[in-house]
Amino acid sequence: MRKSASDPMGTLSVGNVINAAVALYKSNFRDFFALALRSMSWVLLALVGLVPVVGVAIAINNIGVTVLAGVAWLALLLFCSAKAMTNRGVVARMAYQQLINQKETLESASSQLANSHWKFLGLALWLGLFVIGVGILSYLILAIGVGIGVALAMSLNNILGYILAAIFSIAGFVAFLWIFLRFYSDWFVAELPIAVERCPNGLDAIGRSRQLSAPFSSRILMIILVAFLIVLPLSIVANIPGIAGIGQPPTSPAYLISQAVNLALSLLLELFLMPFWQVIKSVVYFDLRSRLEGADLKM
Amino acid sequence: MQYLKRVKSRTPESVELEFTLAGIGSRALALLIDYMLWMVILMVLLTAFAFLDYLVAKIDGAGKWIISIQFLMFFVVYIGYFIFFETLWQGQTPGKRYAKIRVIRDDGRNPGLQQAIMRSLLRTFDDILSLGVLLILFTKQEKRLGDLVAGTIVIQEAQNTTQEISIDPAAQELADALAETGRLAVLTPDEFATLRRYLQRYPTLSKQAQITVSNNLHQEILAITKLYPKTEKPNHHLFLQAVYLVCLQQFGG
Repeated sequence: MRKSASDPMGTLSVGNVINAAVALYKSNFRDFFALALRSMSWVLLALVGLVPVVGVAIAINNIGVTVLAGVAWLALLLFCSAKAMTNRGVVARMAYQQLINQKETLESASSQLANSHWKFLGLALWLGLFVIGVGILSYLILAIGVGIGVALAMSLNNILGYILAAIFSIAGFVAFLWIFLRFYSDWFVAELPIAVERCPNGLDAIGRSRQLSAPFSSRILMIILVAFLIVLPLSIVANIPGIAGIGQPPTSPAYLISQAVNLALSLLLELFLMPFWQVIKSVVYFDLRSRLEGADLKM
Repeated sequence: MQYLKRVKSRTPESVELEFTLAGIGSRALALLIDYMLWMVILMVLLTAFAFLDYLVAKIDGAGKWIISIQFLMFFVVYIGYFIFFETLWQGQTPGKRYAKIRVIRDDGRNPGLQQAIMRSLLRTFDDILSLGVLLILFTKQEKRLGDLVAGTIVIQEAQNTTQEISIDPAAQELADALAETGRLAVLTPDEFATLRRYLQRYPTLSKQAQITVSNNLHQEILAITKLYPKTEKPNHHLFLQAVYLVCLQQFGG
């Protein structure tokens, strides 16, 4: 058979999802880093905004004014978060558009998502609610498992009781982990429907993400695990100063400096890692759409 | 876009071969699997040692010997796991086999004992501060220290794309009719490749996608070939299978 010159991407293996993400990140480093800087600036702005709020609250010392200042800051926080998340969305969008061979510039991708701030914020709030719900549910199951185990151990008070206790506790823990990871993988690509598909709101985006991810949970978890493994040593390095400071009195200069250096390194690392994770989400999304919807099957 | 690096290598017989490099993702995946397996082996070993210690604790003077032998065995497994597999399995370990990658020498030959030993001994240095990860990410041939010293590269195994395609018996009749029109000759190898990927992946597409994708591809082929559907409600999937059969004649398997 004559071999085609351009080898269009089909479905990707776990390793190649990450390979594709790394290649995309490297070839767009300048743009993605700029977006990471913007995103972080919005977060820092929200934190800086806290200073005048606390100042006003202390200076005027009136409960009404304090509440008002607090509400004003909350509004600022939500606005800044929405802006930060939109910039993260732009990274994901730019990566995805390249995967489908419709490359966009930073400007055009940003303008495409200019009106999506509130959708991203809505998505984050919904995800927050779901995480709390799933968290309560999974802890409850863990508690039931351990509870039954302990009750058995105490009532039987023999070796069988201890074995049963261990089995129930482990079962509870496995169920806890399974629920949590399962939902995590289902929501992993939830930003993408908003970033690339004009999904109307956060809740629909979560639904879409679940619909695409559910058949491939273990694959997605494997991808996350391998990506995590690649960046783990860097995270360890970034946290060495903080660990070195443990044991010093909390008010000593040594402790404060170690914490400050740790914070600075963590922020720097986040600048580099945010686009990495966003691009991985884009490639996963692209791959899921290919697998399930044949999105790449075009003449 | 080109997301995997390719390298050319020249064999001792001056034959030029082209390989696709494994990439950091596949290598990290392989390492993850290997480390898990390796840990299980070491755990089993440690448990066995503990049991052995318990048994021989009563014998005078045996303790020191046992401990030295244990240290030696531990070291052998620690270093030997990768050497053993990379030498015996032609550059593969269980993890690499799972990730469909393998180690080869720069000239394309399988690695020998010497290469495997150097890669294994330098692995520890590559793991420190993720030096190996950085080298794989930022060097042209994705070589970590062990690869640089041993003169090896890690490549992806050739993908086996001969996945089964099931063809409806009724498609043959339609294919004969389509071949007679002679219109399908305008289809390019790229379009044929898309068609083949569609048929390979058809069973795993969602129900909704099966309908929309087959409909879209059908319309695209009609537009390219300027054929007109004969029936009111054409069976898109059957049509595409028939086109595939005709193209198969044209381009070969």
